[in-house]
Amino acid sequence: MSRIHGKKGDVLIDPTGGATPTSLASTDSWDLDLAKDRVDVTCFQDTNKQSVLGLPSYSGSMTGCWDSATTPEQLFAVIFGDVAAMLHLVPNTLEPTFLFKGLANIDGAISVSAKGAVTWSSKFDAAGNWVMEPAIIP
Amino acid sequence: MSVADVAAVDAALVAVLAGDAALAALLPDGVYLDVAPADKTRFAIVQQQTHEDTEGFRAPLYETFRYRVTARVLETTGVDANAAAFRIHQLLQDAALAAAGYAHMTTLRVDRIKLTEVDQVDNDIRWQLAGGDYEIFVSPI
Repeated sequence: MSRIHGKKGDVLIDPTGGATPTSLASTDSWDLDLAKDRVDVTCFQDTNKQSVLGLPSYSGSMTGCWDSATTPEQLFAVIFGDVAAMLHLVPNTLEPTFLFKGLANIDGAISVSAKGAVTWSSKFDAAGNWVMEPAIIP
Repeated sequence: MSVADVAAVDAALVAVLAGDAALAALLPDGVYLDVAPADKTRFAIVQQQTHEDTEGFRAPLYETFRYRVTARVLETTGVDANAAAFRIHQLLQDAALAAAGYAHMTTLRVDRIKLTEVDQVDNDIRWQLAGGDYEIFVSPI
């Protein structure tokens, strides 16, 4: 495969936290932040600051348009609930085996303007161990 | 994936205007896309200005059309052109629009148009133009 456009991206969600996620309708973007904690370990006689790495955060965000037929049930029910949902973040549905997945604590927001479409946005962080598939061997 | 024919929105907009008896009384020569036939003196013109697709994963989310809709009347004053522009606004502003292949979201005026043009052939003739720029939001179904 080659470099790809984001048009074929996808977000799949299983509100129960199970292993059967379905596509989250009317979604147009997702982001995943894998930033790791840095712990400062700079000591006497060091000539520069030094740090050691912690674990990646696996937090991120999603955006889309409000559709009353799907958004309340698929997304906002999860936001209002207490169950961590299973998320699958797919860069390209033409290569659906390449994805990031894991349990997520999901927050949300809705934006309504008299000058445009009603949209939602959502932030999440990891509620369990996340993985990238297929796994790469370092 | 949902795709729809954008020309359906053009046709729907013209149909709404052309089907109104009150507007027809003010503009008896009809409603046209882009240009009217020769020798017409009281008509409406619908011109697409811009179009934007807002893409989503798996399917387009919605499309935004901007049309300039103007009443054009050969007269010295702008009384009839203004009256036609008001009727156009009543017909379009936040009103339903049935375009095949689309679910209508809303129609909103974003700019008012009012000007007087001197006829390019006969400089004694004045054309009164009145109307507005309308944004139409539709979602492919």
